[in-house]
Parts: sequence; structure tokens; C-alpha cells
Amino acid sequence: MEQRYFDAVDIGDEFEEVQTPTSEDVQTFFTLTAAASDTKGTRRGPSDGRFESKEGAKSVGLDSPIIPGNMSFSMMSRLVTDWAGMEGRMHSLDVSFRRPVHHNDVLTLQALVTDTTDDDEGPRVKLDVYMENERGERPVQGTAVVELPRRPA
Amino acid sequence: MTSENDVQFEYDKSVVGVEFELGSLEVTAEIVANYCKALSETNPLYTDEAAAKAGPYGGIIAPPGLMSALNFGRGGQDAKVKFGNTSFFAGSRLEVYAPIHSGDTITAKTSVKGVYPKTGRSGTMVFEVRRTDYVNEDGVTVAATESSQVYREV
Repeated sequence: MEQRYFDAVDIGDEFEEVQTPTSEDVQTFFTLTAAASDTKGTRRGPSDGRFESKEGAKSVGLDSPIIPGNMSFSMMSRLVTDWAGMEGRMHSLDVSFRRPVHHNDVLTLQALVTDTTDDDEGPRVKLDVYMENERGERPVQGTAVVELPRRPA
Repeated sequence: MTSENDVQFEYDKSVVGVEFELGSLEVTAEIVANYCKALSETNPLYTDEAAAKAGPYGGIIAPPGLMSALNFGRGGQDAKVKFGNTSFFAGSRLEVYAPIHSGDTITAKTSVKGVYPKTGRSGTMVFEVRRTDYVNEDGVTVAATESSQVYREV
């Protein structure tokens, strides 16, 4: 894995990865969010099947099952940490969900360097991040702040 | 024209600002591995014990996005928002303060920060914003998330 260094980053630098989340990936992701043991009187996520089946998706007006928002969020987080390398550190990630992401969508995840700062907080880089599907739509977009190491002398 | 003051919606105001413990969970190697599998994650910090041991944290840590994926055993308070006929996840913010190591026990505490209407080009929506703090067994807050759920008529 390539290590990114603060000294070598320029505003306008871009990075991208392609990811195609399958139904199997969604099922694996759901093992992490398995049914809660105590949910009486408390809030749960949707149980209408929108993430798992065509029938569930249709019941809420969608053509096909979709990826949970926190899985899309996780994909964007992966993009940022892959960009930063092992010694980089993601401080924040802020994303908004504009459109549904469907199972088997071919997603291009992109990061664009928009600012760099080097002050009391350390060498930090601000990124615009977004996800684009094969239809040219951007269902997820946001920003991230990453701290990078300086290149060794 | 409808102003935001005119928007009619209902919710349970008593839950706003009240912290609620979702539960505690040990971040096991299996949880980290399943998360990485679902995302085709290959970063050695999360997947390769030997490489991670030689890295900045001395061992495998959890990918930062993991916190937003976990179920800590209970759901948060239900603000019982009554508006529109559907709802969806509108956005999420993650702040990362410290690494989470495999084997750490994390406790999640959440609260509803607020419920408010917004009217834009696509119509009127009601947002419910929730903050969750994640604290390790040493009492260190390792991460926080802020997520918004939107309610609307389609």
C-alpha cells in the first residue's frame, strides 16, 4: 500500500477506486448489524426489506434492493484511508446521501484534494469525496479531513 | 409559500438531549474481518497482523467506519416523528479521536440532538439528528457520529 506524504500532496490531486457491492457483501455487512437483543420501545432501522429483496425494495417505491447508508459511508471511509496510507489518519468524514445505491452498481469512488493546512493541529489535508455510479449519478458526496506524515528526511 | 414555521409535524420532545446507552461490545478480530470482507478492504492496518504490528499502532486496529456499522444491542430513543410517508438516511458525520484496537470494548451512548423542518426545491422535509459517542474501556472517547434521518412525502 502506497504511503501518502503531506509534502507531496497538491491541491487538485485526485484518487479513485472502483467498487461493486454485491448482495453477498450486503449480507456480510448485515452480520455486523444483526438483530438487537433488546429493542423494546427503542428505535430500529427499516425492516421493510429494502436492503435485501426486490419485493422489499418495491414496497417502498424502489426498483431493486439498495445498499444501507452506513455501508455506503463505510465505502467512502475506505477510500479515504486507502488514500492516506498506513501512517495517515482520518480525523473526520462527513457525507450526504442524495440517491439510492443499488446492489451491483459499479461505483467509482473519488477523492479530490481541496486544501492543505500545517499549523498547531499538524499537517492536514481536506478532501472532497464522492461516489459516482455507471449512470453518471453521484448518490453520495462529502468531505474528509486527514492528517498525513511528513516525508522522512 | 410555506415557511418552515408553518410545517405541521409531531415528535416526542421528551427524548431530545437525553443520553441513552446503546450497550457495550467487544470489537473482536472476527467483527473486523467481517467488516473488511463486506467492503473488500485490503488495508494491512486492518487485515494483516504482521504488517499492522510493524505499523504505527503496533497491531490490527478497526477501520474507522466500523463504528457506524455496529449494533450495540439496543436501538436509540424513538423520537416518533410523524411526517410524510417515508424516511431515509440523509447524511452522516464521523469524527475519529483515537484508534480502536482489536479486543477493545466500546460503549455507545446516543441522544437525539434535534428535530426540525426544512423546505427546499424538492419540498418540505423533517430532519432528525442523532449524535452517538463511542467510549473505550479506559473511558476514552474514540469516535463520535452524527447522523440525520429525513422524513418526507413521496
